[in-house]
Amino acid sequence: MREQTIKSFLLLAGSTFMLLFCLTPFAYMVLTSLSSNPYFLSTLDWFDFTLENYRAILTVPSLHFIDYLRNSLIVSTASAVFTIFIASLAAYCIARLVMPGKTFILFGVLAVSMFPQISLISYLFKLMADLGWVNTYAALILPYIAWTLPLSLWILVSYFVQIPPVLDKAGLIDGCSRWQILRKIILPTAAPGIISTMLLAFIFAFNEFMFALMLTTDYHARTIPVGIALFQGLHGQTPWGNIMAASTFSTLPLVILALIFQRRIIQGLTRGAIKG
Amino acid sequence: MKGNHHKEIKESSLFLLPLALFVSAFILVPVIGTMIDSTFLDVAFLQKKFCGFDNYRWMIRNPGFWQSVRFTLLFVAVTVPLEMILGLMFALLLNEPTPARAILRAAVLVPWAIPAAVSARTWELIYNYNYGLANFIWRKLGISAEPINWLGSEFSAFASLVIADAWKTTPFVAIILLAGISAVPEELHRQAKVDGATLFQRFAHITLPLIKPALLVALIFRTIDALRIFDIIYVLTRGGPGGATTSLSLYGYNYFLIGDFGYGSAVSAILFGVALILSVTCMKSGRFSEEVK
Amino acid sequence: MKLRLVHLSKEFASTRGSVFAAQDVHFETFDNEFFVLLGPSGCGKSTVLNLIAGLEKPTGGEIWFDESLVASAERNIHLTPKERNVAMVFQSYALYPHLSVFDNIAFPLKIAKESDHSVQESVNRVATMLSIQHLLNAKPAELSGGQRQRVAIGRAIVRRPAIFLLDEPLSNLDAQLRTATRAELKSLHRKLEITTIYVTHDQVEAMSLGNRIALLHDGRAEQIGTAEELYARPVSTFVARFIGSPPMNLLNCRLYVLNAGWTVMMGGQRVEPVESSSWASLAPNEYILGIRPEHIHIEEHESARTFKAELLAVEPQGRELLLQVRIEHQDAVVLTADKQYAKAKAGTLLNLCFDFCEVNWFEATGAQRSVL
Repeated sequence: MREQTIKSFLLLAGSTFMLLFCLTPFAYMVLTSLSSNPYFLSTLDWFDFTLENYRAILTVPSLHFIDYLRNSLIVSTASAVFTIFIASLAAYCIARLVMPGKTFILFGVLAVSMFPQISLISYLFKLMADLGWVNTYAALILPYIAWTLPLSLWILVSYFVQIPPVLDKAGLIDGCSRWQILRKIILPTAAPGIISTMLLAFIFAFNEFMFALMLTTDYHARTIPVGIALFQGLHGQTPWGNIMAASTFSTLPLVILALIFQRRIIQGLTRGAIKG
Repeated sequence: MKGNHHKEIKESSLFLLPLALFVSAFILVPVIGTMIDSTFLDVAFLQKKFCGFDNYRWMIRNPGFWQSVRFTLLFVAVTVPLEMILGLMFALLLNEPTPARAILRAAVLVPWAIPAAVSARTWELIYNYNYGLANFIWRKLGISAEPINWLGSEFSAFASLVIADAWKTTPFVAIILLAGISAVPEELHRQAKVDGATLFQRFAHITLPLIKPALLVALIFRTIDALRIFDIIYVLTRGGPGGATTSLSLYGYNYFLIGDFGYGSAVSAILFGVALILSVTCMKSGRFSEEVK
Repeated sequence: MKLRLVHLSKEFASTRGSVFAAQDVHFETFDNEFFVLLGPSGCGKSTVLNLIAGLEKPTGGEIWFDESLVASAERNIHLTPKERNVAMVFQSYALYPHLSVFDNIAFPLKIAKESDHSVQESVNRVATMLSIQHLLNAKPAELSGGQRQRVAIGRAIVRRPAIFLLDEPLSNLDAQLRTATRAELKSLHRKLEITTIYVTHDQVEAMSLGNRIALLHDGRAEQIGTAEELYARPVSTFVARFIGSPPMNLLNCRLYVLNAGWTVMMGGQRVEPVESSSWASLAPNEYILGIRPEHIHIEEHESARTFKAELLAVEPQGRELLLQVRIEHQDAVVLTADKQYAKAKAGTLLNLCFDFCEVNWFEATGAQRSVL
């Protein structure tokens, strides 16, 4: 009985702390974005609700928020789609086909995902500069595909090995080529897994910072993380209201997606990291 | 027989080809390029010239380099254990069938989903000297009426970065550990309860040993990730005050920024070497690869 | 179509050296034969089926479909299942979970790029034949075991395959449904007139379905023949034990000549059977005597033709009685229609007369092969 009491207390205290820890900065971000006065914590005129900040970022062209958002969506979506396509080809090979050194490939790819970005960035910058691609979508999409491939490969392999191999056999009997088996049987059967992997790849690409910082120079290709990190006011003072509105507006969809697909994201992350 | 086998492997290789191309072109070749660049005197507007290990020699005599090494190692040494402990706590909470579980699961994903550079902006506001949330709480707690210049002093800037990083990455640790914890059979706990083990004994003798592999995986991922820390430092302190919070990644980046590609590459190569040695060592340790299989 | 396997072998490399999943399997089917591969689990019957289908490559021997060579280890020929035009029903049915029943059945036709119209027509024809028209829009997950099995059969027969391969298709059904489906499969085969290879571990299925049966044991074809042949004249004690329920009695005995006539000695008892001309090839020796339970008769009186046996238990089987008996420390079963034994007490002594015309003789050692 005493133990039950201790446990209940620990659970209550822990849960409260966890909720505050996880949500306070986010809540602060949202609140500030809705206040005409980012200093509401220190002054007496308390909290003044307004949507002015949102109006500003969405309608003032010189802030380029819409450009950043569009760039981020295009770059992340393209990267996620291509990554999933390439990763499913490789995952199918590793899960099903005759291939010596499969384990080596999987672990090699895992090691690659642990490379520090800084060790790629100068070469990538020179490469993109030589190609004349700096500040274009291609300069981001191509490295992003490579960068999100390892994680996607690991997750997809874990989904593919769960599909009964007898379906492949049935496909062969029914006259499919290997490519047709992947496209008409494996991919549709693994659709939920594919979608959650794509979502993870999208979020990874959306969150990427260093490549985008180095390979873009202005709003033509700059993505949300860099745009917001470098967001400066027009008149010297940091426009906190605008920054928080931009942060909220661009991350709220991510947060909502994460909440809707929470089970799948948790599953995907743990597969990518643990189960293999 | 042999010929057929080869044909099959050839066919399978086609499926791997796009992956191999992308990883080679945009990860492996750049890494090798960086290695090569690190042996050149390669400064913008100057003739590129081979210089052997001059960059490295200069590096080990450069106090700025050692300062960033010291900071990076210290940062890893503080954040990783902190995140592991917090993450374990969160994972235990997430595993309990309380009414709040759904809300907790949702909440834990919020910091994870927000780009680090974006959330760093919020932390910047939180740490604001005049009207940030941190000083608001500091004053409300009544510890001292004097506000703190969070990002202004060496120690408090370090602490601020640790907190912001812990906020962003603890959810990842919690999710990894949750997978390990939920795989522990419930019968073991019931059996231990029957045997008279207390809550803490059950945690120490059942949960903890059984989630060792998950702990190891989280530890490896987090250590390597913390070693290359960049985003939040770039936004919050830009390495300041006085270079006290310059991580190795930022240190290398600063040299790229001023156009010294040779020296920047040497710094990057060092960081790459450390990360590679760490990850290969961990993968070679049987525990990790078994877990993966 | 005639299927011909020529000394077919499949060797797997394992950690403990190489293992033969199939070894020197050699037979030829007739046109449109219903041919059964029978054997216990792990005997290699599924491997042989996969080899025929083209899902696995032989490491020795050849496979012929009529006059065309579809697989040869020596000549490095291996046609894909598509090129062989085989159809297969899997034990787990292997229905595509994301496709409706219609699309599952239509799948091979769509892969073959048939026109929508002919796909529609073929699927409807097959669905009518299997009476699953009402299920065409359902997904596999919504179907019962029996319905799934029909869909799997439908997918296999929707195009005209050269050969029809069935891998334990009834083992996931309950007993009642199994009997009914067995009859349907048989009539379906009659209608389709396609050579069918059917894999099962169930001897009752094998005997009721197959024109001929190949009984596999450790990767080898132990015996190939009709159900009657396997039942009446098993080539080894393995076949004798596997076929028939209750199985054949196998009793150690000694055969020798006394007074110019045969004498069978079992433990301390001896009988003098009427000499059979077919015994000419036998030499006096130790043998295993195989006799079906229905070929042992119970006599009123002891004689030179009877063994004395102790009754252990009586199991009523409906029309007949199954008697568990012990002859000189060896257990045997006897089938009798005589109801007077229904209430017989354990320990009763019975006089058993063997019908020696029906007796099979096996070597007492080694592979215990038939010596007649």
